[in-house]
Amino acid sequence: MKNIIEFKEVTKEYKIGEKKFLAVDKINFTIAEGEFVVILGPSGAGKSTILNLLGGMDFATSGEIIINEKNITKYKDEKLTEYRADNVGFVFQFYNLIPTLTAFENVALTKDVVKNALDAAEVLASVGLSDQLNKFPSQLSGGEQQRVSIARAICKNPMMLLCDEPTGALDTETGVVILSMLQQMSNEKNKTVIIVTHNSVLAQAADKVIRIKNGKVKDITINESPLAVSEVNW
Amino acid sequence: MLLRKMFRDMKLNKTQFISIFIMSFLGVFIYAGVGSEWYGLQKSSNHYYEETNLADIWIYGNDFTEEDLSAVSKVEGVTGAQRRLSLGSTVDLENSPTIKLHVVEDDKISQCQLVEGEEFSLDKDGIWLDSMFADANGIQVGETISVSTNGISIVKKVLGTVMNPEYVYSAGNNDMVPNHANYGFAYLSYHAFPNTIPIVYTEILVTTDTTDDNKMEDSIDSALNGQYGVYLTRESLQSYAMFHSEINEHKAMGEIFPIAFLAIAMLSILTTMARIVGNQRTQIGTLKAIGFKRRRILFHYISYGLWLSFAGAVIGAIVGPLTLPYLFYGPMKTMFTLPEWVPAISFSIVIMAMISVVSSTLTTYFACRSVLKDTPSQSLRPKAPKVMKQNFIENTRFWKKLGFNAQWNFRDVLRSRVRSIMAVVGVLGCTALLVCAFGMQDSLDDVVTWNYEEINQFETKLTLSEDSTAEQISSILKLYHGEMLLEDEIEIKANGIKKSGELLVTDHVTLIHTVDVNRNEIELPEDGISISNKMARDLKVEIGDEISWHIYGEEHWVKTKVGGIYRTPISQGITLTREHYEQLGYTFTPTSIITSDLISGEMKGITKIWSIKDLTEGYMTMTEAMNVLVYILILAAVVLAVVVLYNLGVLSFNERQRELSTLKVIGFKSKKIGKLLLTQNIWFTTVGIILGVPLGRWLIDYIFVYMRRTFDVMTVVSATSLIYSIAGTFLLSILVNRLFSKKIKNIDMVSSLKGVE
Repeated sequence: MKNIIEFKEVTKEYKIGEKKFLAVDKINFTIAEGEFVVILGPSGAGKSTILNLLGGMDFATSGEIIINEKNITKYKDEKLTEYRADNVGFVFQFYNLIPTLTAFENVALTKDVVKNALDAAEVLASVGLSDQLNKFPSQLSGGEQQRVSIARAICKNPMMLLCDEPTGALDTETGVVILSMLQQMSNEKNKTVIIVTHNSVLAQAADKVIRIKNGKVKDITINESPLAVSEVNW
Repeated sequence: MLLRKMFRDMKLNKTQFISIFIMSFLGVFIYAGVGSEWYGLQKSSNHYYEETNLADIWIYGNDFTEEDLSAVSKVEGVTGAQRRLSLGSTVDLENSPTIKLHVVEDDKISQCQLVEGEEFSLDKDGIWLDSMFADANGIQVGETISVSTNGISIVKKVLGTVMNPEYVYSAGNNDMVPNHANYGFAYLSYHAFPNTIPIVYTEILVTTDTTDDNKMEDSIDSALNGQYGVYLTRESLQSYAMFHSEINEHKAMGEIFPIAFLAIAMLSILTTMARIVGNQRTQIGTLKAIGFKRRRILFHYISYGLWLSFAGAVIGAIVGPLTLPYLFYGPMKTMFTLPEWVPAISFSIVIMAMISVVSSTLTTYFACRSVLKDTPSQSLRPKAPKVMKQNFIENTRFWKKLGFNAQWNFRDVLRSRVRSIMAVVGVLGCTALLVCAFGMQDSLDDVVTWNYEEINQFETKLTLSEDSTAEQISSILKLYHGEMLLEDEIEIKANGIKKSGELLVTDHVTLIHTVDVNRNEIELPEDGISISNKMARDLKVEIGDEISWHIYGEEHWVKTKVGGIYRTPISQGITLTREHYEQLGYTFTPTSIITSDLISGEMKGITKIWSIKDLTEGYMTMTEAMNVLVYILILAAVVLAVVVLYNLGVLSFNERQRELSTLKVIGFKSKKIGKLLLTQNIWFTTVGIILGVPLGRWLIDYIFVYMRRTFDVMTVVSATSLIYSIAGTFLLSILVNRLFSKKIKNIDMVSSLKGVE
């Protein structure tokens, strides 16, 4: 399979007051098309920073991030926004839905950003929410909100889904439903799905596991026969 | 989708958005309302002046010959000239009213506008009567009236009732307010004048196309070889000047208030949008993560301010001209006679509306800009709390003694500066408007006390008829212990400035008192002339300086030194004693008698009896249009205070909910927390009031600028008014605060202390 994502010596430095702090320190890895990748590590290890850099939400201090043979670290703000709009779907721990828009409207919002967005109602149906289209986020359960958030991410029909602790705020059962849904995206629709989590159990379901510690890659393992999320022993 | 988000956000924060809307509405509403009011009057009066070809210059003299007329016509810049004879006359009616009878040689300048009957014509034998006068006295077109002047009686059929541009403001000598039953005008063709008596033309009306007044006056002066009494321009014609100073007054106040409201609207927007954008940090981050361009997100938030101020401005610009002008026109119609009263929308209203929208939008932009600058990953993280630095005061011993309440409030004020400024500005505006409203009323009332109680201490004033005999006068004097006055109109000149004013000659008068600039009673020198304070300032003269003056209708100028200065609110001019007047070579012919007795009824030799009450009422009517403004101001002050303070209350309450719950959890009682908030409120209110009172006084001065061109009004804010304004502001502030003390009780500690999101 073709490698579509490559991190080359990527470093991200934050300044807190006078002190400098290396969130990500010379990281290298590759991810292939359609892979289901889990980035593991304790909190504060730099996982989210990697996801933010990959999603074009932040600028790297040095190094190269190659997406589809293009170096996005060279992109200016405007170009980066376009990159995000066309290629990336985000799923956050706290869903980040717009509270004043209904489930349907939150998903249909993507139509304002990309031309070939999928049909919002269909996508919501595919995540099992066809009955909840007109509810506001506050009227939905956590699991339902996260499904709206996934629907919003896939509606853009992006190349990759970036998920930051997508089950962090959910109970285990609901978490499994969400993760299965994400795994299906990778298996059936050939989307690259990258999940950041501190829960190492999920590693069993991943095609590739990248372990991060103190801003560095500890190891990368490729799982020849990953389990289905539902088969994992939580 | 983003549009829907906007509407729902607005619904969620309706208090703030309604207040932004109300402020931008009020600003444009008042500007457009008052603006269309005066602009409409200006436009229709200009149209009226143009249509009727109102004269630019009036020259008064004793006998203008045909040669004089042609000499004036030939002056460069003169486009037209015509002669007329103007006679003070009495109409033979029960109340024997006075009219000015104009016998005209031509009908090209200062034409009459027909109201009823037939159009004025030089060839018809009849009289055209002031329509207001005809109405007030129940005279119909077709009736015959008898007018007597200087012993001649003219009996004519009324062919038409008319309006005339020279009589927009039309009041007799003793009236402050037009009394159409008692005073009017009439037009007669020179053909219709009894041919047994030669016509002596006393006026030349001139139209001109130059703007150089001084040069024109010099040229006409030399054309007539100085053989004329008075030269008047439109600005010194009472009718024109009164009307235009009224328009200018309205203009002044219509301009200042919208600025205040606009400023408040901008502050509301700044606080509200900063808070909304602050609260929606994560939402902004999410929108960015989804791939919305920064420009679109920015536009989305800017549109909040844009649409609201746009809606406010448009509705204000429509509703203002439809309502406010008519509030003013009512009382103004008793003062002025115009063919039409129609508000007009000037281009400046559109500009004002645009300024309102643009400044609101820009303010929104500044409020949102900073959050949008962050990278998406930054905006998805909660904002780092503001670094609190220890203030230098906090290290002093004084600080430690302050106690928790003051300390907490002090820090809170420093932490949210914009909000604090807005609170102070809101209170300040409220106090200033109240002080201005009440103070204006005080100042206008003060004129009554000053003029009719302190200066003029008589009870009745009897106007003597021109043909009253010496016997009649002396019998009245004896009967009522009367004192004689001579009043006339004069022209005064000093330092190259010319002004018209009033002459008052007193004959051992005790019932008229004089006061100095500070309103302390003074005695004026008996062997010299004294000048009123306003006139002295207008002419830039002081005691000892030389002025020259002449009575209207006489060409002889008198040069004298100023012996004293007195201050009086209404009639500006000079005063002297009978002895000094006679020393100057004049004959003392009294025009009225004053007495401390109350007299009514009729008597020989007297044309009119005025009680001090009549005079006071006349003045009161004149200031009625000002009262409308006073009510508008009070209303605006209340709306301003409630909207701003309530809006701020909601804002700061929401912002501090977490903090207040913490206090509650620690064990603070709701009452104590309420007191905490009240303390801050009292601080703001106190500062606002301290700053608002002088601003209110300044506002009065600003509005009175035009009124002061004719009257010497003192800015007076009585203690009662001050107390009302201050108490009113405090009351409003505390009432609004009380609305929130209930909310404190209802704070849900658990939910407001839950984690972020």
